[in-house]
Amino acid sequence: MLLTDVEDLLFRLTDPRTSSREQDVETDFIKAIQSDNAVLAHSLRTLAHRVQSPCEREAINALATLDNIAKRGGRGVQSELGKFRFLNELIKVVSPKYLGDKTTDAVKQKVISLLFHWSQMMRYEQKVVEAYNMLKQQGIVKDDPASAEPPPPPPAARPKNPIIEDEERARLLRKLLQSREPADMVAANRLIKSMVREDDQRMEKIIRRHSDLIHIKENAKLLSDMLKQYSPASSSLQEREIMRQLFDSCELHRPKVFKLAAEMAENTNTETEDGPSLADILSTSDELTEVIERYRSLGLAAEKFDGRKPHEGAPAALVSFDDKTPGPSTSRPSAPPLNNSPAVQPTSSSKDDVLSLLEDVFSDPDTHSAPTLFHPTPVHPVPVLNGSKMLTAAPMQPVTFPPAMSNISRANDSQNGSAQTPAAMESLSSKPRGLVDFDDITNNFLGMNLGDAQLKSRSFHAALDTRPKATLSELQRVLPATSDLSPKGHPNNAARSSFSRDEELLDSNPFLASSSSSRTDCVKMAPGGLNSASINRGSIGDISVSLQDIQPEPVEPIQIYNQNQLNIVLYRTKNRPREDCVVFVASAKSSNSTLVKDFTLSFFASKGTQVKIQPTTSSDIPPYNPIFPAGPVSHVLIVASEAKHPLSLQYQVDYTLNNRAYSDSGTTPPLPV
Amino acid sequence: MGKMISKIFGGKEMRILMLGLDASGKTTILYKLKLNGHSITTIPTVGFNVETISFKKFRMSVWDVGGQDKIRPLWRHYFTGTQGLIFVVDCADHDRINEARQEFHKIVNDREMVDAIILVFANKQDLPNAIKPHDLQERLGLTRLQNRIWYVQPCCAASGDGLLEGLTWLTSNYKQAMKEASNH
Repeated sequence: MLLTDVEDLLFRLTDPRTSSREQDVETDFIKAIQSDNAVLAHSLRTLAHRVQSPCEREAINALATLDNIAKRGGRGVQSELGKFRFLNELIKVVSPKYLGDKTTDAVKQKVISLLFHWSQMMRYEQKVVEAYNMLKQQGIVKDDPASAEPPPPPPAARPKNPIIEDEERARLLRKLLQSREPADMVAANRLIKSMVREDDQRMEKIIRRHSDLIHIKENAKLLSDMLKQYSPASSSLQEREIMRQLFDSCELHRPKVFKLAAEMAENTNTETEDGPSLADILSTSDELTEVIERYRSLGLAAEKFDGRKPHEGAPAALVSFDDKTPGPSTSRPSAPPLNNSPAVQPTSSSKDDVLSLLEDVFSDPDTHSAPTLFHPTPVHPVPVLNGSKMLTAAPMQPVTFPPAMSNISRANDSQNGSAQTPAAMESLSSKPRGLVDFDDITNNFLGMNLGDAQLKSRSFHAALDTRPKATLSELQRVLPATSDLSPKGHPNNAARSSFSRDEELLDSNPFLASSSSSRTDCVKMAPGGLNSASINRGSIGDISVSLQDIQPEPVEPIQIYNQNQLNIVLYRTKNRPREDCVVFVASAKSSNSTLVKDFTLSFFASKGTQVKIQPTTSSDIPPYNPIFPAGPVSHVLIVASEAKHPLSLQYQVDYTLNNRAYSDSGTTPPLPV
Repeated sequence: MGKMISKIFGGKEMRILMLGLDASGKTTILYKLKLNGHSITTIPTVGFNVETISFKKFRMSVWDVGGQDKIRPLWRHYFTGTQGLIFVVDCADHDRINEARQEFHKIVNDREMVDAIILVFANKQDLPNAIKPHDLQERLGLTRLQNRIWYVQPCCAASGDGLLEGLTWLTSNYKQAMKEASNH
């Protein structure tokens, strides 16, 4: 660059007619003075001269240019500025010995501020510092000019990253980086990469945790909203199913939330930066608990939906429920129903249920030992599930049961049970109330049972525990199989008799009528009255027992046929129309999705035994329907035998299923007579 | 003998630390210098690259350290012994200039970095609206640094424009800094 070109640039930079800075010119000028020391020296001399110009504008512009090249020109320029040769020219401007008197204040101030900032910025240029200090000593500068701009704010301290800023690893990394070995360089890089990967995973975990929590929160909120809207009458099956799914999800996630909270409590010092806070987790946990309890308190937890994978424990709960329903009226009225009612305790695991607390509060201390004994699940293994297809036909039954039972017990006292039943049905949704009712029954029956309550409870439990696999059909029985399992002559027998007294009431109870109990269906189907008095030794052709008059006996039902999802069982009854006569009820149920038509069942006996089968209630067995359970088809079978030992009967069963005719025959297991 | 040689020439090896926000162009600059103007495609650096670059009579070991937010806390481990800092700024990234400024001051204010001379590469000058060097020095707060030797070099790492000028500034000021250090 020619000197004349630099002159031109200088002229433009210090032109008193302009007050704006031309950045391109500045940049070109800096390039010029950096490229050549002669140019630099000449430029500084020219600028120093212009700073002394009587034209204030020109002086100010020259000073601005000097400031700019001091900042941008680099060390070469700075060291030239830091020479006395140049600095003296600046000092002359402010010194009264030289031009100080003639210089305007604006220029003086600018010069002083420039020297001050240079003394700060380029402390390595010792002469700048000396020059400034000299001005101070001479009294020309009294106070340091204020800093033009405040220092930059300190950057916000960011939270420590537990992995990246781990002390142990930091030491290792430092050591590797200090090394000159290439292998250590590779190792250092690998270390950093592994740290980053680990941190990425940590972040992912935090994010996942966050989104999990949000998901759980949303589910709980949705379920809570749905529960607010819920009424047993108006809510559709679909709604209930959705609620059940939400409930399942809530229950499933609750332990996760606990775990989260535990983790958070452990890592409060390191992981507070991201992810959910402990308070957040705790509040979510509260919401979950609340909604789960509300769901349970509405009794919805016991529902089962067709097509859904059976909820673990739920079907068992249903089954066990049916199993023990007669409990209160027969052997052990107090604890079992309370504990076993699915509404109260839908699964054996829900110990924290608020209702179990109620149970503790309400139940009699004598019976207190019983509850834990009634874990439904272990008692009823697989076959129950199979049979429960029929049983669980009415999903809402468990819910309705407790009040209904309470009604029965009251009916027992007042002989007016059917009148009370509708009211009882209405109180379905309020479980705690049902519980209280239950407790009433409990106390009633405790009063009735004169035997040692403790002992009974124990033996009852023992019976349950030792019981073999219960079949569905058994569970269908109105009489509890359990009491039968206890040894003969056991105090339970007292209770058993009390049950028979209740039978009428049970029959007329709408709940039981709507249930899948074979007995109740028989009530509807079999016309005609009882004539148990007509005893005619010899032929049993005249003997007839109405289904209505059947007194079930608490024995295991006997399965005689189970094919094509058609199940036929025999129930022994207490009815003795004649001394040598035993009455059975043969009950046929279908799990098929289609109608079983033209159903006939016949029995044949060997010599010395008479068999009479009364006309069937229907020749068609309705298809399986989980929501509106159809009753079974029942026959009353009267067997008269001289022999006092169990006997087997031949049977034949004919029916049409899916347009195909079936005909099967077989022998029953030995029947007790 | 090898030790002697390294003693004689080792004094001339300059330790340069190149830092800056992620995607500012550090790795591209390193390899542009190392490979004599050849460009390579780079991926975000997790960890670091270190290359020895010979320039004029100088040998520099240049450390290019990944600038992702997460690994910036590791920068401090490279400070020890650093004689020159190259701070690379993406001048087209107006949104993160403030972030760059904060990181910059964190580095230069570190006790281990007070003696390092500072070269700022105002990178990506080829892009429209790139911040000009004199603007950048204000926005990075360079002018308020006290007693530091610094310089802003506009450049375009992709084309290589301005890179050698930057190295020239580094070597010449390194010489001066060494001289001053020995004088004191």
